[in-house]
Amino acid sequence: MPIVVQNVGRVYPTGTVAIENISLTINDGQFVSLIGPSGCGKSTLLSMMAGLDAPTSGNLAVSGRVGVVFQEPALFAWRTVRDNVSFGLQMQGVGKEERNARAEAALKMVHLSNFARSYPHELSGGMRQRTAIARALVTDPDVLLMDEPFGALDAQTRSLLQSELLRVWEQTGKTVVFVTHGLDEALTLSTRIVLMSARPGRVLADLAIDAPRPRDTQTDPSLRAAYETLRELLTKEVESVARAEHDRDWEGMSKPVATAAEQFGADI
Amino acid sequence: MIAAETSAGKRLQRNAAPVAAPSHVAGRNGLRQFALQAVFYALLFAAWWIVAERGIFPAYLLPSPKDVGEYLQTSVAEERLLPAIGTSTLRGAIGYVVALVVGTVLGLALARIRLLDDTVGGAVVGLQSLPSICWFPLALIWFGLNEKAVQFVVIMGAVFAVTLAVRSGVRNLPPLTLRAAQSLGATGINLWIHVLLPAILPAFLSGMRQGWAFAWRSLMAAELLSQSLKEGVGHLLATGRDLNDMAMVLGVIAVILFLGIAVDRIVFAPLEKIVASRWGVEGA
Repeated sequence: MPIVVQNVGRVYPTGTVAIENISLTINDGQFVSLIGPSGCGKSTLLSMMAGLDAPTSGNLAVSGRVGVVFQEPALFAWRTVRDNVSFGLQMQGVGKEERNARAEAALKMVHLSNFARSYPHELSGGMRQRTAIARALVTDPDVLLMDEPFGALDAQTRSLLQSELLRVWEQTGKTVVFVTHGLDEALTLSTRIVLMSARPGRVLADLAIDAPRPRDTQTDPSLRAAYETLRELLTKEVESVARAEHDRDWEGMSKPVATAAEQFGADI
Repeated sequence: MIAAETSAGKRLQRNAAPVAAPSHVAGRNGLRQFALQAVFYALLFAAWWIVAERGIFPAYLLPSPKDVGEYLQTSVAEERLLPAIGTSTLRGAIGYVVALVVGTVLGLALARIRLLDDTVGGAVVGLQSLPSICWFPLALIWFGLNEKAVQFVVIMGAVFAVTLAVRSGVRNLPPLTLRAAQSLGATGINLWIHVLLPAILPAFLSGMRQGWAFAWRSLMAAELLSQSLKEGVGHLLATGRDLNDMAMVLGVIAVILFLGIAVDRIVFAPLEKIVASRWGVEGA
């Protein structure tokens, strides 16, 4: 079992409780989406899995190597695409020839072979994010952690990258943890969806999604059902956040906010 | 003016530079600018010549371009101007290199060590606003009227510009770049060599450029006030004043201006261009 999260909590130095008592076991080869209202601590949880942040209580264990893809590509502007991809190997002390060969193989996987010698600023947003995915894959990690990786892309590019990611996942059988706030995206990709509550983040729902692929979230009845369940829970959470934020004005606000919450649930 | 461009201004410029703009547009604009400047300077020069030739002002106040040219010619022939240029350039270079090393180390330390930044950092920002020639009296008392005193002024002039550029370079790094590097296993010295230092190179270069501008003007101020040292171009300028030789004064001013700009254009501008084109517009 590559990822075991036991009663994990995270309190920031400011006293804000980002995450409270989360327990979660993620199995080999699962594609798990973490979903929840913004600020619910899903990115924090992912950072902790990546080892970039530590829990203040509980235990968190990830076995095997980890690759991380962030919301933005965060490429190294002074390195070519290939040298960006091979960075992780270089840090491991892999020799130049092997490094380049493996980087090129990873680039092939995301269909960027022709751009190996380009610099990041010469690429489009989608190509940069694919480079970032190749960079995370090149060290052959057991777990791929992705923090809203397609959130900053336009709808078409996003759906293209989603299918590319699915293909890579099917080819390699890696465990993927995928943070998103798009319900549709989560339903299209995942074998399992974990819904987190508003801050402090707790697990509200944990659903197995085993609809056949390729999926159509509009027509598949099991996906429709999962969608309705999740949307209802999510709407409630968004409402509770809005209620807290608007305090006493809530009664007057309730209608427009409720509509906004509906829209949020209906995917962004 | 070289130093009038702040590093922030430059970064803005770089960000705004339209990568996608077809190069012939940039070329045409460059040509147009060049032509306009050439015409402007030609007119200015012609006006000077005419006013001087007409004798509107006495020659000891406004010599003609011919007098200035003659001074420069004689000065080169007497083997006085070129050695002075060499002396000043070497002086400037030595002080500049020291300032560059000290400023870089200090800037990196300020950026990475919170306590240091809260204490020394504030002082650096304050000292940056002090004209470096104000250190000269102090340097005279500490070191006496010698090369050390002049170097001290040059270093104090340049070091804080470099420090602040390096500090803001590190500070303005996108945090995600560092997190990405760390998630790929870059720690300690590897993080410095492979990520931090290359990432701040554009900011560092604009700091280098500003540092040079400050070093050069500090050196000229110090040379004007230190006549007994080995003769540099600043000393020539002071001599011109002592002799009431306006042709000499104008000639040396032209040389000083030329040297400052030449180093900026020959050394720094091409470097910045290379880095900007490779690092891209915003450093992805």
